[in-house]
Amino acid sequence: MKITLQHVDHIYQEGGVSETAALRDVDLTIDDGELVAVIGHGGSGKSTLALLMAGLYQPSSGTVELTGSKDPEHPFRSVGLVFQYPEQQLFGESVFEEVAFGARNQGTAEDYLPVKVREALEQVGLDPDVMWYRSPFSLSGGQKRRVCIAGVLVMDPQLIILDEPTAGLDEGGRKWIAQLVRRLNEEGRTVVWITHNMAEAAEVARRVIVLKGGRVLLDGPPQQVFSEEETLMSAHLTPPPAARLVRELQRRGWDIEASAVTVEGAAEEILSHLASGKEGGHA
Amino acid sequence: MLKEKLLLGQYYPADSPVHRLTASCKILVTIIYMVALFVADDWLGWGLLAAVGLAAVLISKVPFKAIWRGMKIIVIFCVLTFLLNLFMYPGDHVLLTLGRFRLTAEGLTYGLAMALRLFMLVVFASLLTLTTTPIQLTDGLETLLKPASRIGVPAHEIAMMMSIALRFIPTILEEFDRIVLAQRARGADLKQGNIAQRVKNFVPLLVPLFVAAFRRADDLSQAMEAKCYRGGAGRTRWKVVKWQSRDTVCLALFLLLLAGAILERVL
Ligand SMILES: Nc1ncnc2c1ncn2[C@@H]1O[C@H](COP(=O)(O)OP(=O)(O)O)[C@@H](O)[C@H]1O
Ligand SMILES: [Mg+2]
Repeated sequence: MKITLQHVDHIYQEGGVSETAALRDVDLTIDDGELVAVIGHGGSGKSTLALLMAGLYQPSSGTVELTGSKDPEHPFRSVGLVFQYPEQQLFGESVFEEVAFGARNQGTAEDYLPVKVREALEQVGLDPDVMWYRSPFSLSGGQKRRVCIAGVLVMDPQLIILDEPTAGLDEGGRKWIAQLVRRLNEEGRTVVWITHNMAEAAEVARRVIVLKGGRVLLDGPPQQVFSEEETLMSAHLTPPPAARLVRELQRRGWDIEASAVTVEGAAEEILSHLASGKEGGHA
Repeated sequence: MLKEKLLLGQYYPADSPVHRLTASCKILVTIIYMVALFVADDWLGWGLLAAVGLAAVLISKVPFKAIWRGMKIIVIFCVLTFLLNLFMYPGDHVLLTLGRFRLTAEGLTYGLAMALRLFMLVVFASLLTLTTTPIQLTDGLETLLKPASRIGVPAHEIAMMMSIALRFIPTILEEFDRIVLAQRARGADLKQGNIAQRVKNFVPLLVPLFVAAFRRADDLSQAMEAKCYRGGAGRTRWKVVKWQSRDTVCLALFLLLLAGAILERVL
């Protein structure tokens, strides 16, 4: 499913005393099957963008259009949004009830619900037999997050937006989310991952969109976006450590391309430089 | 959004004579103004009070826009009040007959007056919250309740409860808006089904709201205990607000206004 935003402005409390322009003149197209990371400083408009793409807000001006939805009459029903800190919206008396909520709202037959809930729980790595009757409120933070994500996956969205899904998770949780995002994309879903962790974005996404003050500042493959160090700095962002390392080596005289953004990429560049034996005076 | 519709008006910072008045004076004046609105019984009185209200808004430097924002629902209420009185109020001077309903001159006057009273009442109350910070407001309330604490009224506790409520109402409304959005993203439809079903539709909204409210209450009580809060006894203030001569003048003017309204009614 493809999503197109044209000249989108979003203004909170328009005409009010505390009027805030959260998005300004945003033009974006995200194609079917893309895996996009959206990064930006707090308050740059990331969450607002997510709500617009999910059809929960109407833009103050401009258009948000979905093409290729399996439900052309209600295209936004094919968009799944995992909110920032989604565990604040838990309400179910059991994990089953919690996860089934979305599927039930879609009109899934009662006797088919357990099948869908089981599938969704397995997708997020939770054992359905252990979790089924447990209260979601009794789970650990990481488990709650997984239940919330299952509650969105159960609706089988074609486009899935995750708003800072790793916020507040430990290292293991972060790694797991990165894997999940990759897998969802490999299954054929379009994925938009909002984060402010550059290394995460560099590892996983094939395209990175940078927001600053409600405008799109940069948009391109991670190698290209993270090479714009000064521009990123102006948005209070720092390229991932691996990218900074190869840049620093280049600055100190190494004749390398310095386009790596991941640890693996940086290792490649350094090794091939060493192998070519042209370290120069600094070696 | 619910938050924008419900609030009378949040503090609007400005440097004006109204802002400079002591909070306790403004609370008293607001009560006096409200009483006067209901004591006054002819157009001279209502017109004068409306003019006073308008003057207060102008002096306060609060833009009309800021007041209007909190008033939209109230206006619907005013119109309803007007229509109800228009057709229900008994009168002899029939202007129009619509089936079973008779539209009388008395009904028209009374309906307009009730709508105007209600409107000015809310404008004035909004002005109080727009020109007084929540802290000043609760301090003012505590000052006014002080005399009553001798007969066992927990003045400090009432004021503290009000200040906590005032502080958290916007946050909780904001939270509620977020929860509504999140459950809508999961396909929730509040307007679906019969009455029992509709009540059930609110469960996914209310449970997270209560969970959040209790979490906040817990955090706050821990923070207060950590700072050794022990209620009102022996507490001193950082900023002591003193009653000024301008407060006396303002209060006297409004008492005069009220006296005028009472005199006009009985004479
Ligand atoms: N409900 C709201 N009402 C008013 N202003 C808001 C609201 N939500 C967000 N904003 C403002 O809009 C801007 C963008 O916010 P947001 O989209 O949440 O950014 P991010 O997710 O990148 O931190 C911020 O300045 C924020 O204060
Ligand atoms: Mg956000």
